[in-house]
Amino acid sequence: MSGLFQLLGLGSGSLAAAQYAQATAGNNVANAATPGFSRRRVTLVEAPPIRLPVGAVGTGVLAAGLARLREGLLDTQWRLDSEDLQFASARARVLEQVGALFGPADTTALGTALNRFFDALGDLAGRPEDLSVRAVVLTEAQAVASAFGLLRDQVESVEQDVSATVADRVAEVNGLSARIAALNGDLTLHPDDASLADERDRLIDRLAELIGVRAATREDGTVQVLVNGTGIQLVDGLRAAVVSTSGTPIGGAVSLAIDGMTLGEVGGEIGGLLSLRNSTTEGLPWALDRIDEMARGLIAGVNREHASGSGLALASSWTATEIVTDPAAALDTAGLWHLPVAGTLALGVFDGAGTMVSSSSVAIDPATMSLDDLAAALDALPDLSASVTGGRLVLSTANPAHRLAFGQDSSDILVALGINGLFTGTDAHTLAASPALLASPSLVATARADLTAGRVSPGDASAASAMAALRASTFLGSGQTPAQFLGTLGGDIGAAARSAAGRVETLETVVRVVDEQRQAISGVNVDEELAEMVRYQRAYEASARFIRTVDDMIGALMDIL
Amino acid sequence: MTMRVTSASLMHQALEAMRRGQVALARTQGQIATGRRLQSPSDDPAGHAAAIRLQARVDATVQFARQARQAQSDLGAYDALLERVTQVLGRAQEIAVIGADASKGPAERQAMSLEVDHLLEDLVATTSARNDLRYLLGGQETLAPPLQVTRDPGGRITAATWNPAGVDGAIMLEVAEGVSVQTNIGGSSVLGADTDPTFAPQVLIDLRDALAASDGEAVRATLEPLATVARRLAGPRAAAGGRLALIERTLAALDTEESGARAALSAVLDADIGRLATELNQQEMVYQASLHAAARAIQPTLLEFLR
Repeated sequence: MSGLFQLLGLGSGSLAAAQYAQATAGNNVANAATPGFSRRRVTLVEAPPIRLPVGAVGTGVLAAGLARLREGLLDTQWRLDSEDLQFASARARVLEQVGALFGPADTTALGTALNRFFDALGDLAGRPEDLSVRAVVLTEAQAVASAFGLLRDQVESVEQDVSATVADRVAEVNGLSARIAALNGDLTLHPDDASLADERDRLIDRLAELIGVRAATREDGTVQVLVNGTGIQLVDGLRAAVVSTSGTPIGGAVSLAIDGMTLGEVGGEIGGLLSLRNSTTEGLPWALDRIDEMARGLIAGVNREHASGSGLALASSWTATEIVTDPAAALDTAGLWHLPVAGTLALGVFDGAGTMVSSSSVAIDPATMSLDDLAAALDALPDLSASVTGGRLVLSTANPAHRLAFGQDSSDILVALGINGLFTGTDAHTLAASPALLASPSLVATARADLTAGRVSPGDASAASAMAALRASTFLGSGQTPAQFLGTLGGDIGAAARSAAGRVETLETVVRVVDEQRQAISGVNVDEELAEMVRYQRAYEASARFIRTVDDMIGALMDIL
Repeated sequence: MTMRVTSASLMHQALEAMRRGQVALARTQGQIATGRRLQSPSDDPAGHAAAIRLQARVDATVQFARQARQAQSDLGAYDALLERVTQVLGRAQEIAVIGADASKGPAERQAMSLEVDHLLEDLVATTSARNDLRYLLGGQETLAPPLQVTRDPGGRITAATWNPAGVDGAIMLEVAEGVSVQTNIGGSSVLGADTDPTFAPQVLIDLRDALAASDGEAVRATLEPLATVARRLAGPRAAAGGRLALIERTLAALDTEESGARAALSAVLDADIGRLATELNQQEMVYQASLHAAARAIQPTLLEFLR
């Protein structure tokens, strides 16, 4: 009798096993689309047999546990490749965004503004006497200034976006680390909990995408997460490190630190963003530098021609726009934005009727001469007075009714100090049309004063022609015209964006292949699960039938009683 | 062993194929809609740089052509002036020839003297001819009247001098890269230097005074200087003609250069619509095929067959 009841136990055991298996298959189907889910299988083992004289008789089946189908090696591979993919993809996004600021090629705001500015200068060369043409030149100069300002602002706002995104992603990293540490704790208590293990793996995957990590499983079942390439721990057992960012949204560099230790170059999305945020050879600071370099070159180039020119009217006094912080220091070392060279500056003083009163010149050696020395030397010239006020050179005629004209300036001192320039400013932000000229367009220099014959002719357009000719002159950067400089800048950024996009495409394929391999092991195939369900349904039905048969057998025995 | 294909990866692949199809379609569609091959510098970095350079060249050429036409109109303004001076001096020569005739009496010569005075006034008036803002004969001193005259109490011109600041300053205008053209004609090349004995106003003053004094010899003495004055006009005419011809040639060259640069720009920038339309068709087909394939692969499950 006891043997028969044992058979009932066997039957109910196999019913339970089929139920477990069915539940597992159902759970697999339910999670077919859950990210990071690893399919599971009930591990069925034969229950320990009873040793009888006839031999070892089986006692049924046992659901020994749930196997989580996952391959650690593929996880590692996927994380390495995803780190690279996210690195390249973040770069491609940002570079494309910056590149778009320079396109479309034929109508870039700055390119158009520059072309119209040079057109206006060409018109001025044809009609130097015409005040309306002068006004147009100044308007176009303002348009150039605002195009430079806009471009720089736009690149800066990308830089700001990147800094903000880095901060967001770092916060995400910290959240992930804390959760992984917590899961480490939970998993030491419930080592067999497949869903907790899945969750932890999913979080580590995300960390790999964000910053690039390596995970190592300890004997106690916890994982240790290291930032790839640094050996610095993000998570160790129950402890999660906190990553902090330092730096300003715009300018300087943004850096990462973990518990006070500086993180060098990291990977993943954060690494990609930081590489562009900080690099002065290819990133956003580089682009901003190039824009500033172009603005500086344009200011110097245009002002060099303008400073030694004269307008329809002459001013009696000029105040430098650039401040020299130490007027007693040699001009070479006084921190000027544009370095003057050894040379001479010629000046002429005219009376109200346009007759020259006197002409003179001063030799300038920036290595030995300070701003104070320069002011003294100019002050000593006939009919001129010069002083330094608040770091600015003020140069005027001794007689207020007289007018001042500049001749040849081979020292570039007027450009450096910001005197008689068409533009003021020293970079893309500060570049502006000279307020003095805007207030009085007849001061726009078109002619070259003839200090030998003592006249300034209204019909002379040599200075205007020289400025107009800058369009085709290779005076920017390492010998480039403005269009070449602008084209190369946009082209360089475009090329970087293109190569990053190419890398993204390659890595997407690599990651997809690894992911497919990973899915081949861990992923859920609904059809497969359905087949499993049918199998266990049948097994369940058979077990039920077995129980009924045993019941019948017991009934037959009962009938005998 | 064949690889396990899972439902998620099937779905993923189908979505990926659709995404790729859509990206390609959107790109081609964008190029066709804007007519531009270059949508962003990364589409063709070298092309982007070339396009900016070419656009600057087109603009520079257009501006040079504008300046060349300005030079043309500036030089053209001298036509009427030179014509008028020629007529004045021609008439003065006729009068001088008649006045030098010994048979002419004082009354006739007096009348001729009056006509020469009108001619002199006419000549002085021509020197203040202006083109827009500029005195044509003022050299670089374009805003000051080039000729200053002294009159006696009767209002008759007794002497004339050029603007002491000079009337011969050349006004140069660049009409092509490195090609500058003088767009003005100096006062003294038309009427002579005011220190010259053949200074046109002075010769007319002499003629007028000789006729007024009925001095036949003195009238005859003006014939030679008058001829020199008239011959001198050939110089500026020829110079202006030469420069105008140079400008014509420059304009033609600029035209060629502009169309060349525009063609190059268009080759870099513009989309080949025909080719793109074909590409769009192909991409559409690929996209539709991927949709069909996805529909087939995703739909069926074992469930439908378990009845």
